[in-house]
Amino acid sequence: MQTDFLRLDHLTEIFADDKSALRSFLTDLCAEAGRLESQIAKACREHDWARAARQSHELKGVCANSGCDEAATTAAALEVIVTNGPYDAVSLHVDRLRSVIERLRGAIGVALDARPSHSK
Amino acid sequence: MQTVVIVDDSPIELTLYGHILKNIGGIQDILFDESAAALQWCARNVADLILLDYRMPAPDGLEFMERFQHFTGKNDTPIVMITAEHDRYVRHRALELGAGDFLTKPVDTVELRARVTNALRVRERSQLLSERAVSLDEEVRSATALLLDRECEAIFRLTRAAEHRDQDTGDHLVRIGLFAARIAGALGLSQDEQDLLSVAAPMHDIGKIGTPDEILQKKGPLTRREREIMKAHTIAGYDILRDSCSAVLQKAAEIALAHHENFDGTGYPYGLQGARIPISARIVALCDVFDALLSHRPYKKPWSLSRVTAYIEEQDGRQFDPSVVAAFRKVMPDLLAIRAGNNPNQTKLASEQFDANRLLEA
Repeated sequence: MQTDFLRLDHLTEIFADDKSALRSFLTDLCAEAGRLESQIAKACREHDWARAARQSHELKGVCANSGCDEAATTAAALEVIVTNGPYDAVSLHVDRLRSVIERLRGAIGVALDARPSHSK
Repeated sequence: MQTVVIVDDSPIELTLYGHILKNIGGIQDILFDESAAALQWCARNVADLILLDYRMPAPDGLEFMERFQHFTGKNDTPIVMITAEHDRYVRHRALELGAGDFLTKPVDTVELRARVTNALRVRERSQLLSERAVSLDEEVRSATALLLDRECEAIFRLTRAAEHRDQDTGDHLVRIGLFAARIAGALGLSQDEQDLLSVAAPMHDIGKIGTPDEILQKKGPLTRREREIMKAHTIAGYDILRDSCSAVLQKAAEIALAHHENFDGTGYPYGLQGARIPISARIVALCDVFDALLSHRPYKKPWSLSRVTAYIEEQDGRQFDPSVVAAFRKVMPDLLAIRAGNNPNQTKLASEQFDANRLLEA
């Protein structure tokens, strides 16, 4: 699978033939991306910009290193907004992030379905 | 097997880094998602490389490095900082704190493997060089200690050869070294100084090598002219021993020249007074008289201990330094024990007591 949401060849290169480890990683990545997105949204609702910036930064790093380019770019944009403002644009970016993370999780789900757990 | 410690608060990224490094042979990775736990581990263990995220809950990457710097003996562990920051301050500060390299997120897989491999190779070579340096240092120390031991043995045998003409004073030499070290200890001189004295003191009379037999072995009092010739052994001894680069011979020259000076300035060869007489010579002066008076000489019978101690008390502040007399009082039982156990083997004992390594360290 090769989209802006998930560059699977990047992860395949890292995990080489260890398909079981890749599956496990994708499962964790799916959960972690969802968890961080929820926490960022909550921090933004509470106007806790420092926490929102820290978690956006974390999501950006996780996604960038995992080959999830679109999510990384969106998280980076949100990090800038919650750090510097304007804060009235935050909710737009939070919505955008939620949408991108949903699509990422979808892409991960497709990748997992295409890779049975017993194959290695 | 080289150990790579990876510190990142994101478990996802830790997993990624661990897998990226998996195909580098000969390494084991230890992963920490809490920097405080990583620091604790580093305090007790040795890492060959640390891959360190910058932005983490406290301590962050910079604080980690600041604390890590205080771990003695670990400053040569290379640190590669992984950061999404382009902040110049962060980079400069990390470099100041000893970061050897930077990687920017998103991490390039090939670049990360290459940098880790290079850093570990440099680390391995650096360790080899350090080990070689330690080994060379030990070899040099060992060889130098051996040379010093041989130097001391040669000096001691020369001294015995010089004293051989004066049959009554052979064992006296050994005792003087032991006595002087004990008194120096009671005076609070360092162990190095005590060791030096134990080897140098026996050479105090080496100048007698130039004293004619008829004077040296004369039974009965010396004439004025004979006394003057006898007195010249101090300067002769100094001339024999002076200008050496050996610490032992320098100390021996100092003692040979001044061991007949009196605390009140009435001694010879220069009539030095008080603290102008080196402490080594003030110590040996008392040791020499104490042992000589208790011993048989061609010109006198041994004195009783009470007569000897009375004489030393009488000379307190005159012939002898009061502080040395006070130290003598403290250690007199030890000196008597040394005298009681005196035998030819003590010649060996004296040289064995000299610890060449102590002098090297000094």
